[in-house]
Amino acid sequence: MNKEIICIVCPLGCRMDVELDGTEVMAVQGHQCKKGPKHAEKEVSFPGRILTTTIKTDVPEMPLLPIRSNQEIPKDQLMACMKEIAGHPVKRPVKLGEPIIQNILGLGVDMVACRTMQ
Amino acid sequence: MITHDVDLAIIGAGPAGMAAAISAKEKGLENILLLERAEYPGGLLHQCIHNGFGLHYFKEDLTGPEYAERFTTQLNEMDLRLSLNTLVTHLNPDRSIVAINPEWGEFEVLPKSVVLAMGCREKSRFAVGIPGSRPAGIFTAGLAQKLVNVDGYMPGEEFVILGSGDIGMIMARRLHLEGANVKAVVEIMPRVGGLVRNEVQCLHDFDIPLLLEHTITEIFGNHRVEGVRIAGVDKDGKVMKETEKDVPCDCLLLSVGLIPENELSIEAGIELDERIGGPIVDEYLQTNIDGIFAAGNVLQVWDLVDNVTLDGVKAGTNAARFAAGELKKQPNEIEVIPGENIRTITPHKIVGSEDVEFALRVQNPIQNAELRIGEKTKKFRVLSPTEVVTVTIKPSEMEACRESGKIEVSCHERKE
Amino acid sequence: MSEMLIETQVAVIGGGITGAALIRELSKYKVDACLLEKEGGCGFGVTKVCQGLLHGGISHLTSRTVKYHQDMPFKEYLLQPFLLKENLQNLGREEYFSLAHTLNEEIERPGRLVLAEDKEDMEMIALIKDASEDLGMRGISLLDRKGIEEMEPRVNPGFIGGLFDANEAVVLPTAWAIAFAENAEQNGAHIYKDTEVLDIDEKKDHYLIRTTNGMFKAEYVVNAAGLYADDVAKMVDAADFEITGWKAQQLVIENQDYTSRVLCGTPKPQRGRLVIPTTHNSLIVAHTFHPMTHKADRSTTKEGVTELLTWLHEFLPSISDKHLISAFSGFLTFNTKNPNDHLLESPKRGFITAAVSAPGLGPAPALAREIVRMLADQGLECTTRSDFNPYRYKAPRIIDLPAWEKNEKIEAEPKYGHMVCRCESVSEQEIRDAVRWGARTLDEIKYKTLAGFGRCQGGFCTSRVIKIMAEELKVSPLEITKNGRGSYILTSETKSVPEKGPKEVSL
Repeated sequence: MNKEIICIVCPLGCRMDVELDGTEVMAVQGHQCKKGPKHAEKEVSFPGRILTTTIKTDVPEMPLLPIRSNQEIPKDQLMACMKEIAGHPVKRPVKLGEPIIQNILGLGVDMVACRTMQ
Repeated sequence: MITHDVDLAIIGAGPAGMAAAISAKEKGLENILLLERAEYPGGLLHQCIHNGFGLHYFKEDLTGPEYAERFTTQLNEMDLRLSLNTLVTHLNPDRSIVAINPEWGEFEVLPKSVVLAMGCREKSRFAVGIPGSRPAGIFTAGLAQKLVNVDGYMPGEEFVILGSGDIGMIMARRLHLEGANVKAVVEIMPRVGGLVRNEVQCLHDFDIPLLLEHTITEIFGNHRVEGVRIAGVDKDGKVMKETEKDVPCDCLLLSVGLIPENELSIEAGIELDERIGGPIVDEYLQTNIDGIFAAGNVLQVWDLVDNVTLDGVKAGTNAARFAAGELKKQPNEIEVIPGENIRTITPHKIVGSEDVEFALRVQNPIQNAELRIGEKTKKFRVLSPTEVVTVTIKPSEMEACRESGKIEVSCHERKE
Repeated sequence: MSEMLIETQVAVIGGGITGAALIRELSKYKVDACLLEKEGGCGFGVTKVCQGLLHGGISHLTSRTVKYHQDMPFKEYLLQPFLLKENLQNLGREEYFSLAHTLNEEIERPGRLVLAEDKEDMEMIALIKDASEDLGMRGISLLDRKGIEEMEPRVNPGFIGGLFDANEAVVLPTAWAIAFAENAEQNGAHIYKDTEVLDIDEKKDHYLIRTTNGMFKAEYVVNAAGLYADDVAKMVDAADFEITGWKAQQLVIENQDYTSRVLCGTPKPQRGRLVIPTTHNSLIVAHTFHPMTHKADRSTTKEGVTELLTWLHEFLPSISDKHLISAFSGFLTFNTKNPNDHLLESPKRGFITAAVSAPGLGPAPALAREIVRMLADQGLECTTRSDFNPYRYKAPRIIDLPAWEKNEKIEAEPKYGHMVCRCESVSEQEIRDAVRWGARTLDEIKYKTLAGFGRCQGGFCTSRVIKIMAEELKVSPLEITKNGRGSYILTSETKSVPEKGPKEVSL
């Protein structure tokens, strides 16, 4: 099976044709440097993203607290995480970096606060 | 009327203004006043809740609020004076400032030096001239970002986004994550306006349709947006009527570019570069008025906040050096001439004899590029109009230019 | 919907400038009157998109020249008696100046400069000047090239001369419609917004008006529905006319000292070339002529915008397109029964149609008095109210006050010092005041305070204004609209959008 993956390491944005056997990269074409295949490898074996979003608070002047995942979350779990976060209002005070939801959906990833909320 | 005599007044406490304040203080300036119109410092960073900030400056991948908090914490620790909810209404050629806030009413600031750090604003729908009716439901991407990320409200359910600038693509992802239906991101150019990273992670990741070489030719709806007409454009950017298609939606977001916010600069008599909309500056980021510096997006619209911070550091440092009488000017100025394939470049002139950092944007994407700055050449694998590049030149490399009074900058394809 | 029945003596249909001036005129008398407006506020129909010129003076003569057919000497033709609308206009324009004090609304008198391109134009304006003298008009002068240069140095040097009428005045029409209506309300009249008339039932001694906001029973009905006056007349079988006209595209551009006078070319058929300095630092460039195909069509076209920019550059070559703020479409309407003039008639007892032909702004106050006279003739008892208060309260614009006065106000109420609209410098408290004095929609706030009027077109202040309005009205921000029914701004809170349907677009 072949898949197109765009390299995002530099602004060149090489469109790579990646030959796959299951989740194993067999061959890569269309890249212009060695960073390309490396990126392709990662995108195939663990397509994860940092999730950045907000969570409701009990503070009228600051109705939302920005939060992020402290590690990458599998791409196909992002929407499920959003649903989980929607049901969790947070109370003040919160410190920058404090975990707001630990081990979200059992993924081993914490959602942490992106700012202090007094 | 209250009058504040200060060493340095900074207009705007976004990333440029905060960095300028901190750097000026570190350089020994004591009496600094930051004037900020919003209710908090940090500017637009608070609504930019996505990551990708600080990769260069902190070598870390931070979100906007995290990046802001590093600076706001430092402002507090250094005891820098910050006047919030404060709108500067006048800036005069003698550097005096008139501002207004709830605490002091209308007041005057008499600074020895000024850093302009007002940032930029979004182009509105009419700046790009989309015809059609004028219902509710048309927002700039940045306003939508504030509503969704800070205020907690959705401005619509079914979206079409015009323009594939970074804010537009980032909002497409945000809205999708919040459950909205983003029907298309429409871009008139054959490539996205923002970073490739955002094209992949904001659009491809969520199967959001990207329509390159398309535009919106009409907006429908009486009270609220009911749809838009989308059409393909040919190579000359002309609409191809036969490709028109109506797409129902209740919200149109515009991400069609940013304009440096220079109304105060114009009032003060500061000369602007018509092409980039920001002040004409020398390598100290000093404008044509001595002691008035410009930093960040008010000078030119940067892609990365890291560059905005670096501008702020430079302007703040030089404002302190100006106060100490350390900013030396050579008798012969060197004018910077943008040559082939250069869309914008700063500084516009070189007045001193120190290292000069050029920041430029090319006109068209170019591979195996060679950048010529006077006698010096520098090689790049690729240069793209979507990213500003910076190059530093030593005074020794400009000796020849000092006589002619000119230095030309151009970008070519490398002949191997 | 609950069918409440409201009884009134006079129902005015339409809260444009005509209806608004009329309801205020009626509120001077011991008359029970109400105004029915279909939009979320007064002055948001054709009034909003008109150019703000009060006309009068030489504008009558110049507009007459367009229709000249050489069947009588030119001057004699110019000196024919005034039409109803011209008479009302001359009266109305000066009335605006005294009303500016009592209604606390802005008016400026920039004067009008008619520019001549060639010798033929010069001959024409000389004759117009001549005729204006015969009519006893004052403040009219002929200018040569040098005179223009002294008056407006940035005007294209290609113009060889001009005719200047110092009397021409401009206002912000929607703000005035709001002012009239508010003052009427202060004096006991009722203003019903979001109230569209659906049909009218003619009874023996009254009319029953069915609206989207309940039933009204009125002894007298005044049809001031502007663009829709024919539709309303139809409801009582009295429409022997239609409202039609031209769609007129216009531009708004920042006025960075380009001109302080109204500029226009010599009159030519279908060339409404005008550059108008507004009361708030912008220029209106007017206007294209396109046949009106649909009454709700307020769209602008790319071609229209290009055409207007070309004209603008003919007048003011140094202006930069970068300062373009917005584009919109207005209407030059006329009635088919009496296309050159207003249609003011009473086809049925107790029913008056006031179908205004463009321009309708200038005559409004004088027309209102004329309509009241007609109502009185038909038996409406018009006894003057001794307690009529002509003064309308309007919070001053803080930014325009001298420093000591600003600071006095801010000390008493710090929210006057909190600027939420940075382009027009409008404070939080000014928004709150506007809500307390009747504003319910974002557009009404815009026209009452100027918040959102400037170069960023609300990009910065919209979210702040919505929040303040919601607080003041004690409602959710979701309930704030741009301009009434259906023009909602926000759709839900975040984190509460239902599951998405399948993606249906394939492009």
